[in-house]
Amino acid sequence: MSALNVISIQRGCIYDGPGVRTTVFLKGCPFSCSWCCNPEAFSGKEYYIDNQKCLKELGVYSLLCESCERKGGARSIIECPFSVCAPIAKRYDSEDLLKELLKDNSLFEQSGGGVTLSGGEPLLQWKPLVPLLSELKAANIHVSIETTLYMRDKQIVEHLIPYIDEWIVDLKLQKEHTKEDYFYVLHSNLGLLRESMSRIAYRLVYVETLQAEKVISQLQDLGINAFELLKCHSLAKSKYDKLGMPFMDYTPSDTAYNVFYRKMLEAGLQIVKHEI
Amino acid sequence: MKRKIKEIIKKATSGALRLKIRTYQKAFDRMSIWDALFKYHCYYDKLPGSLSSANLMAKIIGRSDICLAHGFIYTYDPTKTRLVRAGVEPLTSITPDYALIINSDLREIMHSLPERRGDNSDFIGTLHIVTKAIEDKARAISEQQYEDVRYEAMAKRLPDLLYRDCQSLVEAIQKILFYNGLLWQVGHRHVGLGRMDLVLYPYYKKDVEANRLNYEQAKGLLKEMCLLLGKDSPIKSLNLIGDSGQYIILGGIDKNGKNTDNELTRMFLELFEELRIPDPKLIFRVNEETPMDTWKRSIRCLANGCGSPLFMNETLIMENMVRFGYRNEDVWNVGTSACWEPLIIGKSSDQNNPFISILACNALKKALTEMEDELDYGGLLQLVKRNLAEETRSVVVDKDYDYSPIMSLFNESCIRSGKDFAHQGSDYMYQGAQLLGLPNLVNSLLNIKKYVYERGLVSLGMCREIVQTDYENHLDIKQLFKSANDKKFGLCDEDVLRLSQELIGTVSETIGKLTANGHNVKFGLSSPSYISRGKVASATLDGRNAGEPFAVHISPLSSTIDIAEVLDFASSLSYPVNCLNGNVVDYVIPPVYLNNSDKLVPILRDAFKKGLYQLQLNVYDRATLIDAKLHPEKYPTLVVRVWGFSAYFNDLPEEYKDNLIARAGEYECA
Repeated sequence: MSALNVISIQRGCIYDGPGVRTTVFLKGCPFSCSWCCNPEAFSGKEYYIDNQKCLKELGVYSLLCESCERKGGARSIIECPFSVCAPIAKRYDSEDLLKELLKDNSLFEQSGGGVTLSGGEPLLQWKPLVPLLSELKAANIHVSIETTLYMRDKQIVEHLIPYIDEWIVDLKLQKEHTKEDYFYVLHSNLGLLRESMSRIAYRLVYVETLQAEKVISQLQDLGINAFELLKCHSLAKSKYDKLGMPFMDYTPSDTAYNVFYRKMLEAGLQIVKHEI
Repeated sequence: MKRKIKEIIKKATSGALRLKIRTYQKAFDRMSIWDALFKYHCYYDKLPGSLSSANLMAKIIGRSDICLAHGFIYTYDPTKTRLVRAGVEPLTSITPDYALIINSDLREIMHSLPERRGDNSDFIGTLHIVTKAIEDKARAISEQQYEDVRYEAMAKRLPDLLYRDCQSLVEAIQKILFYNGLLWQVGHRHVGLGRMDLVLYPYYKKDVEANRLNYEQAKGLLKEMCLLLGKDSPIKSLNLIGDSGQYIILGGIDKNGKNTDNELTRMFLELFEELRIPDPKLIFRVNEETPMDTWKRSIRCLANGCGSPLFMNETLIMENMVRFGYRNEDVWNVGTSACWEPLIIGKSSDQNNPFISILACNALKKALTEMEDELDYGGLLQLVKRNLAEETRSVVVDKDYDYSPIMSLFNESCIRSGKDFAHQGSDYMYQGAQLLGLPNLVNSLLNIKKYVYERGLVSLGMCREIVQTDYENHLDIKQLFKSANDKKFGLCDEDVLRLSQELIGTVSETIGKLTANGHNVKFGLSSPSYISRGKVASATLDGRNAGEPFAVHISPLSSTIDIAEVLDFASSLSYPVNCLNGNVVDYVIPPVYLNNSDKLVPILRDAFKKGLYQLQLNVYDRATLIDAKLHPEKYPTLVVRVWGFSAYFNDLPEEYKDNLIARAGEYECA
């Protein structure tokens, strides 16, 4: 059985669905939004390189560094004892992952929470996800999936519908990275979810390049009248540094954010506003 | 230089003089210059427990002024203080049973005293002297003239109150304040307040039923009581301002096992949410039946930044107390000493913090100097355990304690047996020790295991050098020890848990064989001295430099361990029966968590259900604290939780501020 490629498992999450949740971030994404707070999901790299831990960079001498490739030695930086290098993802088979998730089973029960699959784009790992989803279903654990729904093969979405209690659809309305067939695929997959009476929530990350008027019309076309609005933040800067990727701060000004928010309300849209 | 001067003073002065100097120093630090210069007076008690000691107490009670404030009469005058002779420990951190006090009849108590015999003569004599002083005080108060009619009315009622149950909430609060003030006045320290919601509720109910009082008016009275109790906080506090031990315990079960959560529980939580004062403070006894609504209110109270409440898992604690030796029929009334150490309200004269803390890292430091380099890790661990046992034995010692005629008056066992509350009279006088820096020792051993024994990157010789030279020439190893190892204390990992458990087991086993003053000893994983002892301790092998603070209670030292993980870890630890003296998880959560208190409540409830012992949360972000350090004038009411009490951030010494900022930074990344 193929394993799941997991970036991180975050317990005690309070924003990714009902109750208290454990969110599993999965590697891989068809998009590469430059404001993404999980760039490791699409970076294609296998390791973070944290130069703040590198003694050579810090100017601290160590005998242990003599064999390092950065000093002309043979030891790869991956082997650095100071943990300069750390793997981005960890492979789990569904049994081990389930064990990890079940740690909070009583908390899920108490809070009406459950597991949220996020990423990256979790649908990319749909195959190894199915056995896990099936176990979660058997254990009666609520499952949310945070997805772009950008999956050309409709059958995959159709296949997953029975396992998912809530679809959190992350809308990619920013012009920078929209795929040509994005709206077509989204329309089609949303149609499937709606037909099956699945519970759907929508999310939009606000960056200043979003044009309110255009967003309003796009949302109307998609038949969306309520969504969560998230303000883009710069908390992922250190991740970009560790991935050697350029970081651009997309944090919008409060004014621009509030103007956008007001325009959405004026257009009759319902918004759950999240400040983080 | 400072140390040198201290040494010279020490040699040149007697213990008594030093004690007086320290007391006056504190008065000058924490009182107005006028009061300190012209009113402050120390009464030195050379013979605690004797008739002359009781006469001295009577003298102090008679000479001290009363305080009229917030609508009540308070019998504590901070400018008069009783000092017990050097070598005798003042009675600290005990809580009287105010339920008993409120409906007490002083005459009846005196009538029930045993006959005066040779062996109880002094005890009975002291009770007579102190009782007369109490009666005289109440009479003197009633004979004074007052401009305000409220004080006048209260004063007139006071003598009568000594001989009967209270008839209203106002009377009950007044009677509490009367006796509470006297306890402080005669030299008790950290006088706990106990279960105020349970104790005061019948009087509130009576008032409400008679249409004499409504919810808001009652809340007003509680507010006045709290403000009055907190008024002298600096002088009541021991080392740090705020550390006064004035705890109000809310919630928990009553004698019949039913949850006591009532309107006053809610009232106190609302009040503390509104007041944002650090003294008094709240402790919240939780169990599986604690109502959701009370949980949410307590989270809101925390969110407002008053540092209260601390949560304690009463079910687990009561079970362990019974297994340790407390009677099953008594544990429903569990309270705490100054911070978190469980005791029985009114029945315990337990001294839960009389010893210096067991410094866990000393065990490893000593092992490194003793061991042969050929010793394997298992051998080293055995040596560490042996030294830890030795360290434990060295701190538990017999002590000479002060006497307490007033506490004895309100304890049936004392009256029956004719013995003082702190000298074989009370039902329980267990002693408590504290283990300091367990996280530092666990991380150090995990580092040695990995880097010395498994990977061979560091030698034992280097480890010794590091401890001696504070990482001089070994900055690389500091980096390695501090941040490279992925196994750390707080991680719910088999190896980490096993090692922590083994070390706790060693202390438990050792302490199980010890007694102090003939009483069994318990210990806890929470010590208040993580900064003061850290200051003078050498470097440790977890990347901690000499002089830096030790870890705070059960808290992770790594930004990779989040609250869910450390709660899991603490819940997975099995607390031996005598590991009973406070096992607090201390964590800093960012305010954003509290915007969703509905979701934080199940996280905490679940952790307690799984076996978490106690939890103390600070709610703030690092940026706020940094700004508060730089601009104290902008944050006059910022309250933080320090080791086990709340304090104004601005009142804290700089090293405490820095420690809070550093920890907030660590946990923000988690």
